[in-house]
Amino acid sequence: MFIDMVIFQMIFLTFMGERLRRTAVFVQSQQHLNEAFGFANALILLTSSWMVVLAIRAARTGSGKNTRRYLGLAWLLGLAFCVNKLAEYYHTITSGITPASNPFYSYYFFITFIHFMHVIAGMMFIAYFRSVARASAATKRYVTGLENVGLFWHFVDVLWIFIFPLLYLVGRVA
Amino acid sequence: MIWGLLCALTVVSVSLAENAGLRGYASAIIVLIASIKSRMVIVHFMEVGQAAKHWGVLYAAWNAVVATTLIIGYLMSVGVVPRLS
Repeated sequence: MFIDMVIFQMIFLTFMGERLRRTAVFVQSQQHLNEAFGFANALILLTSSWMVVLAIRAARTGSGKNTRRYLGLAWLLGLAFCVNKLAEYYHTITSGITPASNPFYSYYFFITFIHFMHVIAGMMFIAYFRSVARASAATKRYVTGLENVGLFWHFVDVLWIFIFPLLYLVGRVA
Repeated sequence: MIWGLLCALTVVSVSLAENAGLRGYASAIIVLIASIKSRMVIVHFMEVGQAAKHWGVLYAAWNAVVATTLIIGYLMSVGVVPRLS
């Protein structure tokens, strides 16, 4: 997972390098992004992360019922992220913007899509651990596995903590 | 509560981005806020303090490198920091 974080750091570095070369294009293109989508997703992921924290706490006490509840909420918030992201893609593409429009949009679609795939993967892990929570929550193996899923989900959250300002906010006001 | 503070900092970031009065400083502050939020998630949600010490160092270094990359890159683009080439 740390390797994954380093890869994203390299992507951010490449983005900033390209932004330096074509600042005007990046600033102008950024204005067409609606930061409300990104802002909503930021709050969604922060809340989902919090639900996973609560799920892990419940698992540590052996409460399968509460673990399921919090993982269910985390998953539903992940679903909300997906719906919001797809709505944003639809809104962007139907307004004539595609990954081929210019370098900013190439990066925008690439970065957000890769992050989106991480969200999908995280949701799959959460769904699995929710499905076995009632039977297994009291076991050390389950708790350790869920803690690792939590680390991955928080990593997805941390990525968006930087992706949101990088794409939607930084340089928005000259 | 950590979650509440994280959400509040997110709202502050968006407000700064919309505040034309702060001009270029807003972007640097926004990235600093992101770095603080990231640190809060790493410490309080990921519980890095419970892990082997080197993980804390690695995550802190990653956080610092990302924030520095974004801030310096932005400041170069507005001419506050000289470009490399």
